[in-house]
Amino acid sequence: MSQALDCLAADGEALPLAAGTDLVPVLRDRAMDRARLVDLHGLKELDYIRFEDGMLRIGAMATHQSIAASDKVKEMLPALAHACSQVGSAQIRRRATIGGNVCHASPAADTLPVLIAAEACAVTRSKEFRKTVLLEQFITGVKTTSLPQDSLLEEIIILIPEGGWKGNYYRLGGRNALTIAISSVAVLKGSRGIRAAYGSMGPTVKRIGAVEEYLNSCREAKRSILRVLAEQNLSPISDIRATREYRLDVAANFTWLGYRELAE
Amino acid sequence: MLHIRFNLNGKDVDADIHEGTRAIDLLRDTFELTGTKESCGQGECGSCTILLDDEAIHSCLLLAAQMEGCRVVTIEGLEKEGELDALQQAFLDAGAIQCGYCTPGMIMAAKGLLLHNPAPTAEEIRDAMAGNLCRCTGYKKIGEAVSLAADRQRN
Ligand SMILES: Cc1cc2nc3c(=O)[nH]c(=O)nc-3n(C[C@H](O)[C@H](O)[C@H](O)COP(=O)(O)OP(=O)(O)OC[C@H]3O[C@@H](n4cnc5c(N)ncnc54)[C@H](O)[C@@H]3O)c2cc1C
Ligand code: FES
Ligand code: FES
Repeated sequence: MSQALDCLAADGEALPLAAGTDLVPVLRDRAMDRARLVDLHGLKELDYIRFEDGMLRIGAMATHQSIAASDKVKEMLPALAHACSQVGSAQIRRRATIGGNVCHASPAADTLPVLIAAEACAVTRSKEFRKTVLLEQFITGVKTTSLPQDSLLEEIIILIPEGGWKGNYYRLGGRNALTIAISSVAVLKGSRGIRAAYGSMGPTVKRIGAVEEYLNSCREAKRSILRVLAEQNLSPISDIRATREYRLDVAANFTWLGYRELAE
Repeated sequence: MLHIRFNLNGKDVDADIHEGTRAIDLLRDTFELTGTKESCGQGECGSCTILLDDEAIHSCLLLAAQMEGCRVVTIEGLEKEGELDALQQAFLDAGAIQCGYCTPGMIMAAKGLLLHNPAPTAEEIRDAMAGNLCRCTGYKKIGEAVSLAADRQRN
């Protein structure tokens, strides 16, 4: 770890490389031969999933496959195990990391809705500092984060309520493997009520306070109201894969489904 | 330039590479192992699948430098003393090959699966192979070939 941080600090243009499933195609489009990369593959100490002091701690180098298969994650935040099982194909899941998924900060990243709904924090390290930031603030825009160039994401931590986070992750793609989410929603329930976070519905994955307030106070959630709240708070694009209206319909319906499944 | 060492199909090898050289280019162009195919070049078709430390991964998304110190197996490394691997034989016997372009990637993806799970269900086979595209066979015979190889290896 300290060697990797030294390399990043010494070369202001160096980039960390985890599995490279996001980075290698990007570099290929640019002049890749000039890229200076710090390979994190040897950082086995960041490949872990632990439960300590009421917190689930997932090292940045843990793979989607290991998270999807983890009994601890299935027990304490099953929606995350499900989200990781939806990423790419077996070849991608066996190698690609949660750290890469978070730091790439795609609005369609499958781990982000669940992590943000569960109020996860990112723990980052530079040579001098170790910082903990709320993940929702760590991600600042489409594929941008507040992580300084000389720093690494070390781990993701999630406070686990008594009995674990209930609820699930819902995602619409085109077919099973290899389609990025058209719309995705995590609807979770912890000790302070229901949380809802949205992917592929704007520049960043985000929670909607108005939806959460409604779900936590209504006697029975109405799809029509959730559709209005989605329209007021989300800004999806229309593109070749889906129109804005369709994405809003899907997000509202997933929210309703999540609410219903929590009530069962 | 970088100098890397790794184990390729059971032999220790080394190579001088550019930082940005991809694994697939090193394997095909320098080591002349052209069984590994490139189609999409972006992780979407599986035709470039190889084993890296027993995990089936895409060699088009891997930098050659990431092979440093690893065990790499390509389709050429499966045959042992003139005997085809159980998967290769099963693909032939089940008629799971037409043009053959996807076949090395299919077999390496299946190899990765069987190394972790010697008795996969039909659904586990579909899941492990979902990232491999075939334009000819329609997948049914490919799934059957993987089951057949798994059965033969266990008996
Ligand atoms: C065919 C294909 C299908 C895909 N399908 C999906 C999908 O369905 N859902 C989904 O969410 N994603 C998908 N992805 C995207 C990608 O696989 C994931 O985002 C993956 O988790 C990235 O992890 P990685 O280890 O490969 O990251 P890398 O590519 O190695 O890194 C990604 C970025 O994060 C930075 N980084 C990595 N680790 C750290 C760290 N510890 N500290 C600081 N910075 C770091 C890198 O510098 C880079 O900018 C797909 C990709 C491909 C090629
Ligand atoms: S060429 Fe690598 S996945 Fe298509
Ligand atoms: S046999 Fe032709 S692509 Fe699969």
